[in-house]
Amino acid sequence: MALLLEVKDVHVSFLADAGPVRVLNGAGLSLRAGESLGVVGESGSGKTVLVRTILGLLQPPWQVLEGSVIFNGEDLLKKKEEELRHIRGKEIALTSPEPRKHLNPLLRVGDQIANVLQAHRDMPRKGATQRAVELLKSVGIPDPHLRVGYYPHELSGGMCQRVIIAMALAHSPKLILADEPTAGLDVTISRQILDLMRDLVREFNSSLILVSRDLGVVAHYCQRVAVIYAGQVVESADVADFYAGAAHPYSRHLLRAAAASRDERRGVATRLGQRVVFPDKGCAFASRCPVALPLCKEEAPALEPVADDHLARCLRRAEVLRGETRA
Amino acid sequence: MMGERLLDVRDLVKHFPAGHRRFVKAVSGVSFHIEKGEALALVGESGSGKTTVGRCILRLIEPTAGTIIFRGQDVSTMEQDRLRALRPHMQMLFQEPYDSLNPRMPIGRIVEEPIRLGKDMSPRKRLERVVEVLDMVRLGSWALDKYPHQFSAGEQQRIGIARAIATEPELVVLDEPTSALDVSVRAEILDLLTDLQEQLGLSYLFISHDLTAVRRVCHRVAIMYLGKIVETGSTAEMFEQPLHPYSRALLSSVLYPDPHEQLSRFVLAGEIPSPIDLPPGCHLYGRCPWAVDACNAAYPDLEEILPGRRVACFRAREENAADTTASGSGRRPPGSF
Repeated sequence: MALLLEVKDVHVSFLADAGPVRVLNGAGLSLRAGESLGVVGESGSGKTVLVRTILGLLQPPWQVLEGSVIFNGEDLLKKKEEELRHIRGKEIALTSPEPRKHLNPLLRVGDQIANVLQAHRDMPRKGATQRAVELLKSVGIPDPHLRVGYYPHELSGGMCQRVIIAMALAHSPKLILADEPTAGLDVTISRQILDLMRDLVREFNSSLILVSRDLGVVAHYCQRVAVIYAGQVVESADVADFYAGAAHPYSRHLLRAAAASRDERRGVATRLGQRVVFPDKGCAFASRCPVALPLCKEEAPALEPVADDHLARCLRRAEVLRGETRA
Repeated sequence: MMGERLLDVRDLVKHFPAGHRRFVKAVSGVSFHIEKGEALALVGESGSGKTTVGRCILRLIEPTAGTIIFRGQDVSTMEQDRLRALRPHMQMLFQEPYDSLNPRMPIGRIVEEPIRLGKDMSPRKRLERVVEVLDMVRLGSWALDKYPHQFSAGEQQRIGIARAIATEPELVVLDEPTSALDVSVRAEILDLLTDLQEQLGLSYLFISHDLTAVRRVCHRVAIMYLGKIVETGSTAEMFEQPLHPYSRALLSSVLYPDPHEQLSRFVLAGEIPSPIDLPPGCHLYGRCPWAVDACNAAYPDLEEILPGRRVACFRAREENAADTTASGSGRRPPGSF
């Protein structure tokens, strides 16, 4: 299947008072048309920055140093703001982890959806409002003809997220970037939103990048997974392969940390609760890695195959995958 | 140690005024107990009233009605000075690690504060105790003169834990202790909480919406929905087979990190209604697929329908008997570990 998106070797810095801070350090991923990819990482790993880089949304003090984002054969990082405007919301849509902040509190939700529709399509206001009702209906909002007149504060968090999804789908985009779509929602509501998203992505023939810190969500709603650590993708694989046997020690750590019961939990206490440090040389994970070799502190590993369609950024990936190390 | 009741809450009610002589019925008649050395989870979604229950028990807010027996004494109506004498025995761990620590106090003073207020100890003994509890949470005396902002979120939460256990309490109320933390830090904190609970024989009231966290730490679970407990039981049995329709919906929504897990989904209609105008009958009426007319007439009592399993549902006995194969989250262990 053809690649819809290919992000290659992206380096991004944040210019702080004390000097530039590396946030993305050669991140890359690829997505086939129709695929759903889960991007997993902890806070500060760079997952949100990666998503915003794809859409060209980073502004100073953020700085894209190098890399390319090939979408439909064109490099988005080389495009002008004006050209990107025709892509954002139309070809590629973004949803927010904080739907309420993403919505304008002073506008009725119907008007906000209509604005999105009119931004890319020559459409009378009346038609746009009518389409807004249909979109609200398709995201499962009851009484959509009434709810178009509601303000965001009159809707629950789950309903606001549905409105955001309706806006994202307004132009049937080829790619949806969903940044933690269920953050802050209750479990039963989360499941409704995830089901909805999966069904609509299928129905609209879109592809999905789902950014999440929840390995449970990715296991059930994505086909592929990319694990991001210290601004680099450290592993990418098919979901079934990944959960059956991860090849990077950090991925293994995450999977153990997510284990659920009192019996499964033992031995998780590797101390990872500190800030990520970027070493000048060697593997970014080496200082915390339980199976690091002296060589790991010298030589930075590349993202390389370890099995069919399974990449890992670790010198010992083959041993880790076979379970020969206590990673 | 187990068997003796440390905390006994009966018919706890808390209403908040909502204007126009209306009330938010945050907690409407909740009863449960915690034994010595037991970790009880109080689980529910936002608006279920779980945090309000925790705050009432510590009298951080005043209950509207009900009794709270702690160490044999009724704390629900106790005067403040007698309550103060009881404070060292009951402590709290808060949700936001950084916000719950005074940014202008060094760690040594933060952890010492509850000892100074609650215990008659010389400054030297107090310092010894502070160092001791900092060791217990895997920090150490090096942390004494540092300030909260110099620590990571996980370390800040461990400072919070050190403060909570400094006075050798019997009961610790933990209000969403890991919801502000990342996965690996969260695992670390949950392990520490479990270890401390076992070592010190603490009792926990673990308030959370995070069902996997609860499963790691707690012996028993009480599930709340709109101000009422709908089901209680041992953690293992509850996760194996929830009996109340709301418990089923809640537990079947949990996504485990195992792509082969069969998603058996028990779906409730719509969203949680407002706790201002609650119906006279079961609060789940209107969303529940099992509901019959009787459910809208009266609220069902918590009844023991299986040994150790108490459920507030008129239909639970019949529906669960008809559906013996059902399980909320029956799951295989993940493949590779």
